[in-house]
Amino acid sequence: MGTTVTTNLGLIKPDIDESIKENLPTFPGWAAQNASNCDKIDSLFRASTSTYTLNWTASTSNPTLGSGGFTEGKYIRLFPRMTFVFFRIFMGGAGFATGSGHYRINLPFAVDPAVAAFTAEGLTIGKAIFQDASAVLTSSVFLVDYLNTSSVCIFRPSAGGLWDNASPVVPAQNDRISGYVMYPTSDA
Amino acid sequence: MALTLPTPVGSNFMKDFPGQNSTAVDRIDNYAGPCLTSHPLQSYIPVLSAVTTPPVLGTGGSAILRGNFYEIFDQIYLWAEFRYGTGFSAGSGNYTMSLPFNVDSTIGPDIAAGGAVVLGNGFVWDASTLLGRQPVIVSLRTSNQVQFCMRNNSGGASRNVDNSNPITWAIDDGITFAARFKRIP
Repeated sequence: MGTTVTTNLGLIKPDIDESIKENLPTFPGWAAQNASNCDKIDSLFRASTSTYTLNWTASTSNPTLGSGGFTEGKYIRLFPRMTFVFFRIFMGGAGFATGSGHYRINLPFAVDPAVAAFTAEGLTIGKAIFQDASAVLTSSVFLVDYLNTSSVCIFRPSAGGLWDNASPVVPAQNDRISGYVMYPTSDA
Repeated sequence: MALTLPTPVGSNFMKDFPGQNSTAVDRIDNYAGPCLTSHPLQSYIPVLSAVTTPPVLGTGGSAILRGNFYEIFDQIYLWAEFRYGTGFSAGSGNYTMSLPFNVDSTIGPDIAAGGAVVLGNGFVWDASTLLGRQPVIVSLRTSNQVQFCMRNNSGGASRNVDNSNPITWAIDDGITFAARFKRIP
């Protein structure tokens, strides 16, 4: 009589004679074992969406969102340290200011040091689309690169360089940018 | 079903269920256990090559050739890069870098830009010129090699990153890229 556990996850395995030998009215039984197993699996898979505070900043002075503007960051963690982040920024209307310098966003968790140790020039971990509300041709696709020197992500345009307040497109009222990144974190 | 978890059967539920449940948790553990309980981030050294003559990485502090990949069952999330060091040689022909596994793809590899499955993105790093830092598309050239395709409306002479495109290679220049794919076991 008794139970054993699986090698890796420690899931409870009922002894095949357990139900016969236990005193069933007081034996918590398989329901309790199954609940424990389910909780353990669920915590490891972590297949749930969470929200974090997305900060849109710039290397010299930060942009200011206008009326109705917002930032939004959500992430999913899977298996168990892979992080998938989805973000969007709406510049808003009156009161928007571009700030100055190249634009950056933060991540919900630090990038695993082994990957973050890639060169300081950045590591491609995602993509983003910028919608220019006033001009179709300056809407742009950016790579999203992680900079380990400052633990932020920057935006790399197709023509080279970095997206900043002057090039390749100047953000203005009612413009938007959204994108994703995926990376491993060492956080448990 | 991937795990072939047993559906409870048998005329005596009280007797039969424990054994079936024991089998089920073992199968879950075997499938997901190693991935969930170890840190699935691993490293590998990619092979930098070119179609005609392989480049020589060079030496010194700026010479880098490395890769990491995160493994979720048979799904691979990979990051890799190289930077040229002292004494490098740019080689000849389209540049390639190796993957740690063969790729399972229904589209498959192709030597033509636009003919193969796209695995990810990256950028050329020009240490001396800001506008030389250009994004590239990572496509599958062979079953375990990628090549790098780029934007060409600025008048470049090649659709692919090679020994002379999109920049004239120098010390500290290189490529950093990310790719994801399903591996062949």
